[in-house]
Amino acid sequence: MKHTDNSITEPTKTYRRIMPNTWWLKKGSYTLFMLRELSSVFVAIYAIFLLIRLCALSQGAEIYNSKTAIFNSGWMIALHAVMWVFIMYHMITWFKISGRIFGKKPLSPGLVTIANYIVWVVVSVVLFLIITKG
Amino acid sequence: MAEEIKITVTRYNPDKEAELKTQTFTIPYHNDWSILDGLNYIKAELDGTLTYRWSCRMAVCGSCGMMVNGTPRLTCSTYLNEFYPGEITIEPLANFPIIRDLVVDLTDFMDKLKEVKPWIIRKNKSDENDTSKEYIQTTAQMDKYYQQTLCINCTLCYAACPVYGLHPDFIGPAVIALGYRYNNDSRDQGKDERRKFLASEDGVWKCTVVGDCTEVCPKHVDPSAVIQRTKVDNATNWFFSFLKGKK
Amino acid sequence: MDIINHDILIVGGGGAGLRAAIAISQMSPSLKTAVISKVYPMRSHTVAAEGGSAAVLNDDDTHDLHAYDTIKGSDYLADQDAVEVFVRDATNEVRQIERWGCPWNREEDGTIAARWFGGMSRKRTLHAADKTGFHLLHALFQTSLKFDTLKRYDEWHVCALLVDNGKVGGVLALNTRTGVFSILSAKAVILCTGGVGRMYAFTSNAGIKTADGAALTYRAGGPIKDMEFIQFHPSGLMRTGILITEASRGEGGYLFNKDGKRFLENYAPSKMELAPRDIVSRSIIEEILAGRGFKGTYGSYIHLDLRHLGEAKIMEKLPMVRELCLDFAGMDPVYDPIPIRPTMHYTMGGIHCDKDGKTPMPGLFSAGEAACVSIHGANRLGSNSLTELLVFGARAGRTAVEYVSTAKPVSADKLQSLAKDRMDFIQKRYMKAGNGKEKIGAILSELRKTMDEKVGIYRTEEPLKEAIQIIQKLKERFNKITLTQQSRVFNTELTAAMELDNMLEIAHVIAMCAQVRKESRGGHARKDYPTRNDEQFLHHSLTYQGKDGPRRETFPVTITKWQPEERKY
Repeated sequence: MKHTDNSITEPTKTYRRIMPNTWWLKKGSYTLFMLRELSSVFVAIYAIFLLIRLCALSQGAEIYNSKTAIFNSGWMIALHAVMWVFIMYHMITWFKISGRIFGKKPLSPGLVTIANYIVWVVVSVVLFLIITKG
Repeated sequence: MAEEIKITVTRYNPDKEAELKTQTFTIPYHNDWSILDGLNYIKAELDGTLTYRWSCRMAVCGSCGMMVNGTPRLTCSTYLNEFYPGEITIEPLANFPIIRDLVVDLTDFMDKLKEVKPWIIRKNKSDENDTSKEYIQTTAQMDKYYQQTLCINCTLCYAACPVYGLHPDFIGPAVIALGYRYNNDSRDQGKDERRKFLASEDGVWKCTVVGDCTEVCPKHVDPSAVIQRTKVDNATNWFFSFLKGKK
Repeated sequence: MDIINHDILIVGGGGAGLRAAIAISQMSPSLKTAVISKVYPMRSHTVAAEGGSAAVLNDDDTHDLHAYDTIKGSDYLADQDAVEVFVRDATNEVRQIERWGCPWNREEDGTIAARWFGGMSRKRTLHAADKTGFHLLHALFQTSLKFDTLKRYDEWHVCALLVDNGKVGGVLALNTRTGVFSILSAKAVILCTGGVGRMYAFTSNAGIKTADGAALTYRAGGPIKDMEFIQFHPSGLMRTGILITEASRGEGGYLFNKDGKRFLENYAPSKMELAPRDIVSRSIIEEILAGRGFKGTYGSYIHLDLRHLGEAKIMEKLPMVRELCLDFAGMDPVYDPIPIRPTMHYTMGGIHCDKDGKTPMPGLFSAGEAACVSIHGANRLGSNSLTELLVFGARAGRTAVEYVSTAKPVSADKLQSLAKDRMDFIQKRYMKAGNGKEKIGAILSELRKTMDEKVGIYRTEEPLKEAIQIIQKLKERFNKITLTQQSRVFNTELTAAMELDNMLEIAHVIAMCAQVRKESRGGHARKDYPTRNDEQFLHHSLTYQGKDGPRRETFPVTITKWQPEERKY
């Protein structure tokens, strides 16, 4: 049952506006949102690349080198640069959002976001040390 | 000559027209006039047929939301001086069907508002009307939901939400925030009853975190954050019931 | 015409209407009950109440004290039996609304907290920050949603009561959305339509407060009571008249004149800023008349200073005051004093009813600001009105349930013929495509100006007589209005015309009653009769619609144990 009754007489025609396919170009915040959605495509591509490398690595150094030679090409490096930018954007937006989600009293959104960055830096440094020292 | 400002408004009369039109009015400019003052001037002096909603003119009744140069705003607390000497375009709130001129159809919102069960639910029903004493609630407990009690149902967040525009079945920001408000009230025990609606196909998971609902909210209810918190809550709930073998 | 049948119809979806609706739905879910409101219920003006709701909860307080404060505040015009019922029910009602989710501010131990308010001898004003009305209305509205049997007609406009031989049988109403008129029949109609604020230019009231309930009753032959008593709130924000809550003084704010003096020491030395509203408002006007106000673009004003409270306390207890100042006056009360002057705020008078919400017309009930029980008498104490709508909303609802258990409905044929008469009247009066030159806006501005200038805080014989003449002329001009809007869907010009008609009718009553009451009592202050005159005027004014304007009768005041004495603070 509808809670309110506005229908006992002839219903009035309402006008429905249709959102154009370009709706996300109309406002900066919408465009940035679509870019964030797009950035997940690059996150996925990078994940696939990583899986390819891991598979190749499990087959020994020689096969790894031959199978991953393509990653050293100029266009691949350019692609990685683009991917890096998008992945960074992806990360920044989600760090900001996680601040908003978990930044309730006694924490604050800023604090949570900063904590995210600190964890990111620490993990990166540790990984870097393991790779270079190991 | 006195200063003037141009306001262009959307016109729609379902008795006469099939399409939206716009009409531009030139009104006297006053530094301290709100846009609503401007609309009231038009209605009283220039065109009595212009149709819009308003009431309290102090940003608490939630009636006068409109698109002001493309952004959902309360017209009573948005001033001409923000735009002067530029022009102002007023449209009905986006994403809602238009009834007439600047008046939109809120039936869908009102139905959803009820669906989320926005009242205190107790396991023991007689608690609800026991007036012999109040529930004890500390200020710290109140802080957990107070911000979400401030929603005035102005529906600016629905006009800002492209997900609602694309999928009108989406429960939407204000209603989810209201569900969150009751779920986090220490006096309430109805979280499980609300979960079915909040976690439904048209519930929180439809939100793609655009975040504009929070940006336009005149009362800082922050629906965007509480929708994500509700997602986290539903996911953890699902995970634990999965572990317990309930699902 | 369509007839939709109901047992009980509540007109108005504000605090009183919703409280009545819930009471009925709980008591008797099988009754066909509906709330009809010209706006969505959560837009109702209860939403704008700020300071709080008074009730006895603390050990150092008693019902008798609350009753005495209320009666003294009323300048002894309140009906004391009603006040006794009111203060007793109040305690339960504020706990009930707590149980329905109202986020009352709390003490450290988690119990409900109270603050000081004008004219109250104890700390008994419960509050939800300074958005008490907002929280109360939303709690009521949201709680009302749980009753599936409760029907709502949102954005429907009631145009007339349908009355058969003095008995109410329903209403004629316009569905704004479709522009179609229907008969909503009901054995009982409860009017909870709020006050008359919009007939004044400088008012804290919302656009929807247009004397509807009083006018509906008056035209249907029922009496309205004590309409001359209008409350002016001391602190209206300059330019708009928007309310700055009394809680700002309850929390410790000061009033200063331009000499930097807390002038209330000359008027109410024992209570200072926390004297009742009528006294503080008059004191401000006295200061301004004596040239001790500040001068500004929109006239003279005085300062409400909160700076010494500090930002933390303002943000905790008075966040809305700050919001309103920032949004509507472009100043911040943390750093600057607030420019204020008295603003029309509340209608003490209203539809004549008893402590159970019953009017003399069978089938007609009323509650809230629309009603006059009377617990406020000549002056309402701040924070008694939110409590009033809970207490008397519930009581009117319960009385109506009792009434409909034995009442017979008015027959459908009779309702059709009554509605047809009213429809013809409406067609002729508002919807004619005539060639009259008069505009709604012009008549309304003239009315509002007249009420402000001649039926304001201070009243005198000659201006009151002039006001009556002007209102009569405006009524004649109203006969010549033509609506430019002739199409049906959401015709706000038509509803505005009906509202203006209501206000003209009731403004006439207010001015007339003010002219007849040749004494000063509470909110009714006559310059030419500056003292209270119990011998001649310790009575309510009842007004009926007569052939050539309002016809005034008197009605006794009920006094139980508090004999009238001089009212000093």
